[in-house]
Amino acid sequence: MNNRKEILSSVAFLVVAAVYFLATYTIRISHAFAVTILTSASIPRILAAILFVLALIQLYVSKKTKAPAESEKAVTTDQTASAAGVDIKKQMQIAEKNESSSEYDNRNIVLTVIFLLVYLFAMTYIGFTIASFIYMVVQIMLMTKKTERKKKLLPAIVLSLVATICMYFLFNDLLGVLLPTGPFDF
Amino acid sequence: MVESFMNAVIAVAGDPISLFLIFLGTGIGIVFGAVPGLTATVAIAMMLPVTFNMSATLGISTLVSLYIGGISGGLISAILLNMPGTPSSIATCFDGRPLALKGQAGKAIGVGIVFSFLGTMFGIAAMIFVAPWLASLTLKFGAWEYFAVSFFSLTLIASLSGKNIIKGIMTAVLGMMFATVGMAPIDGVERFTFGNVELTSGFAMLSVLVGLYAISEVMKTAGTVLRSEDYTATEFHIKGFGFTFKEFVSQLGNALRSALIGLGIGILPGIGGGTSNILAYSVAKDQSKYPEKFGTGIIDGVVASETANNATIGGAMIPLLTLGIPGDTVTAMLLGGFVLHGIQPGPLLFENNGDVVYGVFVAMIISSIFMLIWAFGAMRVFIKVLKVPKNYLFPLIIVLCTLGAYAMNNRLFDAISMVAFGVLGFVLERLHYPLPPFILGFVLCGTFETNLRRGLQFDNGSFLGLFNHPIAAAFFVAGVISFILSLKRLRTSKAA
Repeated sequence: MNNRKEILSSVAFLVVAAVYFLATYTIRISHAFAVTILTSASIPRILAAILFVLALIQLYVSKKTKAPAESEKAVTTDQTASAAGVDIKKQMQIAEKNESSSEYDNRNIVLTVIFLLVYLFAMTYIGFTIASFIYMVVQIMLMTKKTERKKKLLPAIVLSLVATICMYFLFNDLLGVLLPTGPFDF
Repeated sequence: MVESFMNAVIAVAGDPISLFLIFLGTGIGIVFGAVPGLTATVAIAMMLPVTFNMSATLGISTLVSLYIGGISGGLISAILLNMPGTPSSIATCFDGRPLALKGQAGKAIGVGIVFSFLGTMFGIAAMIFVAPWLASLTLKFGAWEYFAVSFFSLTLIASLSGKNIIKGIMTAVLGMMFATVGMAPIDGVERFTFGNVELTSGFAMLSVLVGLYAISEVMKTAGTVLRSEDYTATEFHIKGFGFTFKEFVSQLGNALRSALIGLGIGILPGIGGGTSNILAYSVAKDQSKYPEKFGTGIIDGVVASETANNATIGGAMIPLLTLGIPGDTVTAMLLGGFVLHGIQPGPLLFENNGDVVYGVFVAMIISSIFMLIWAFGAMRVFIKVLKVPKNYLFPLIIVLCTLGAYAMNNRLFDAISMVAFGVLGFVLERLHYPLPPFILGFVLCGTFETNLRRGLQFDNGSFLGLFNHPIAAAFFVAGVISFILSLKRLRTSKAA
């Protein structure tokens, strides 16, 4: 794995632990329960200390180890039958490599999160049903290959419409679950 | 006990709606188990809002059917697509795929289904007989005992998940930190709320679980879907069960051993199917007369993996029901389900809600049988479902999860925190930090802290009170030992 990422994540944990520890000073200590050694701030402080120490260790470890040369191509599970049969450890390593070396389209991921948040906020204004419909169409398009987007727009709209209407009736009428409604009362 | 059981049978099996829901739940569970990227956890998360207004028995019966279907469904894609549908079926790929390549996919699937069924029934039987007895023991548990068991669970999950123990403990601690947000136990002071009313009750478990698993998975899919190809499943033909009676008998020893492994792993809090299938596979290989054949396509591998992961189901329910401590991540979700219906799992569960518990037992048995029916009857349908493009399926899943998170308390905050935890889960996974310890840390922190402080109060600030309670001391020491052993393992693996 990327050594730089390792070091950065260890530092991030250090910062989190430190900030969390400082934040424990905002906790009001109740002296009515002074009988016990532990107050409501004790466990948080212990947790922060443990995390801090571990993050330091992790930082030290990640600085020392050199990341092995990683090929970016995904490798298929090795199916050749060897004399010793399947090497479980090797299979797990290959499966893990598959997981981590798949190239991530970061733009898509960020957009997904943004759309999700917009969808949530919009829900309170225009209601669950309409917001879900719009969101589903958008998200389906986002997850469709660019070349197929025009072709798949109509099926996406139809599917989202059907799904949203079904959900509305299922949850609102049949199951009695309260959903946010917009200006049109649904 | 027999009477309660019979009453439950009448209540559950005699109610057509209940049967229908269990049937449906099992089928949906299998779908979620089969589609890589979706798991039983997500299925339960999605169905929680559906069960809101059902009775407790009905609701939880539906949820456990999803569990059973979800664990069983993984073998379909493991064998036909060489991709485990859920982490519980990773080891099924090792021999399942070669079998499929040899043209014996039908045999692999048949074996997988039947032994999944047997594994599930084994786990359920163990659960039905062990849980009530264990509950009578845990009834006597006091603060120190609960503290010690949660300590033990935390050390176990931190040391056993993933290869990196340090990272495991780090995420466990991080999970606990998130759990401290809100009102403190014992004295009720606000912690880390910074004046925000919403944070006073802390983060909702549903938001954390669904966000960490479902939303992060969706984010992963969003990142890779544009480049991935559609699945092409191998063709297969199945006649009857797909394998001979002789083959069946030859696997019984393997199956029993794997079921015991699955049960044991399930009972251990925090670790579940993801671990048991691999462990059972390697034990089967080590103890086999022909270890070199493992990986070339023999049914032993499939039997070991699938029996174990299904036996884990019953095993994981045991600590959930008797202690309120989840046996794996799916049972963590089920814990949320129980709480949603106003039921607190733990030793008093059998006293106060015995009818629900026995109803769940019966539902699980019925669900296993339905699983057999679904799998053999509708296998082609499931394969078709596997072909449903991800870009349609996942947005629908998000909407349903969001619905659940929001509808739980009618708070937008819960839905937003779900997304936030999704981002956190995604980032943690990318950085190779394991997620199960986070969940367990989050779920157990309350029990851990509350009981530690209570124990200290009872014993006037003396930690020695722990050692006056033999069971508590035993678990505590076991936790320390497991921690030290894992440190040793870390040292030797670094030296290697």
